[in-house]
Amino acid sequence: MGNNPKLLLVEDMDTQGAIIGLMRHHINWGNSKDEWPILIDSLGSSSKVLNKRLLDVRLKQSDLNTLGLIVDADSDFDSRWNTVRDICSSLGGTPPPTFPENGLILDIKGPVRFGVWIMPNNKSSGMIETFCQNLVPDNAKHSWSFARECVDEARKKGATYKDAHVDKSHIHTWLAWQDPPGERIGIAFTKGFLDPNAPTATQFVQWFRELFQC
Amino acid sequence: MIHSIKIKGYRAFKNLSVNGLGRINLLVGKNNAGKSSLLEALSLLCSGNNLTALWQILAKRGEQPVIDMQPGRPFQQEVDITHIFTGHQAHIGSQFSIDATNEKTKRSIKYDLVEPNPDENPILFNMITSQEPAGAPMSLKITVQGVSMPPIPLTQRGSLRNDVFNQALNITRSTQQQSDLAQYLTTESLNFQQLQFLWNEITLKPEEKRVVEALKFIDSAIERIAPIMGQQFFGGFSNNRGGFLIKRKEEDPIPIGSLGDGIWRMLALAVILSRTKSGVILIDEIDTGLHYTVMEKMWTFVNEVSKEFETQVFATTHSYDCVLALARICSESESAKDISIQRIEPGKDQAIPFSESEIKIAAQQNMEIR
Repeated sequence: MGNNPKLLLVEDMDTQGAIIGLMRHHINWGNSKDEWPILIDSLGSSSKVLNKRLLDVRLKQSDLNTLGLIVDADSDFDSRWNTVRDICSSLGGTPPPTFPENGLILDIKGPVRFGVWIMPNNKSSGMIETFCQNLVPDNAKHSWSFARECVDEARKKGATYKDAHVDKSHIHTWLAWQDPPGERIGIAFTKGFLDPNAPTATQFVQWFRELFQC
Repeated sequence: MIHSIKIKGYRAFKNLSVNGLGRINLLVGKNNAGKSSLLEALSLLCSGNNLTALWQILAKRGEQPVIDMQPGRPFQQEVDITHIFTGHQAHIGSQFSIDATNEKTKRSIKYDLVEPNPDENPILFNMITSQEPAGAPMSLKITVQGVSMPPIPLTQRGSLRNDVFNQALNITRSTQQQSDLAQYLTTESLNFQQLQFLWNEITLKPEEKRVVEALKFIDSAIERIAPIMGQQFFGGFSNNRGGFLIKRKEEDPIPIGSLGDGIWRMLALAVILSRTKSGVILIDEIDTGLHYTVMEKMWTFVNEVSKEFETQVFATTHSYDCVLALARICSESESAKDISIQRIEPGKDQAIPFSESEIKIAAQQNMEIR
């Protein structure tokens, strides 16, 4: 039983890996789960992260002092923001009229610090993979745009990826050409394929460090 | 059944509310949070004007003053009532109150330290002054459901003296209802005399079979259990674990003490649960002596028996296995209100309640709620 007072809930293992890979460049992260400064829990879907009932119980967890949520906007940012707004109200917070671009940190009922980040950038549709494509370094731009072309071309040749997942196909195609090939996103940060200091990353890191006070 | 409790001024509880109680309530929280104090408060509430519960609570904690033995004066045991008031402050004006809300009724009890007034309780005052010429510095006034008993004079040390206690008990005996007393199982369990006494009430009744069923959770070969008499007159049992024989399958009967601690604990638990009808049962550290594999069966047993006999159970634990085992018998339905977990936090005015479905969620998500 972990009893980390700082908890971040995310949708999937890819997001968990990406956040750890990115944050490892900015704060002391440690190796085993017990050493993580923030416990990241992957719940499987956005509806599980944004489940009011689950969050009610989470907030009663003993010794919890900070709770962060990261969800993908997916195809409709406004719809996701509406869901987040309802959650904020039900937790006793007063959500702002528009979602803050630098991430949300909100006073809610009770002693717990609470914050939300909507991937990729708190304003557009997309997901963790969309966030990561903005971290492709300048010296890799050629191979990156070629990866995009390949994905489009593959569609014409019968590839079956869904439109909603095109950003996933882009990044994983591109990762397939790195050394070593086909690493997960989290490892891509460790190996230096993705730039942990790109402007998009910086904004996220600021939100993360402010929320978790680390 | 008690739905909510308010405690003001009892031990560390300046002002504590506990809401959302069910038929079975597991109290969790760190050391010194006040879990046992809450059990004590419930015990005092249920005991009404019967001072036995107060005496037992103080004696169990060893809250007894150091007394100078003086020649020619008979020794009387005393219990120190100072510590039951918040901040360990006992002076005129100190008080605590415990209020509970049931479906229809309210129960309340209040302890006040008041100016001594010999006219209100002359017999007890004479008992004090016969040994302490300075007389009583203050009296303890107990008010049950708004009705006050004659105040009981305390010694110069702020303690309740055994002879005064007994006399006070006699005075109020006619108004006491013994059945209202909560059954309180401490971590020390019961000794064999207490257990044999309780056994008298279930012997040869269907409840006796239930007890055997409960013992089988721990040792499936157990077939029968029976109290034995006599040995205590020949030097007594060497320890507290005597007074019963256990018959295991295809074996000769053996003394219960030959088996492990878990059997003794389960016996005490099962006997108390089986002989209490429509009352309150308090169990300190319910997991004591029990292996985690037994706990789900234990909770199932507690649940079934308390439902059948309409008892309300309050138990404490530090064990995560105990919480997980309780979660397994909880319902996922949001309307289920039979079971609750309450976390007591030091200095907080509200216990944090978890309903059945919330206990289930917390267990599924590996949340730490203790």
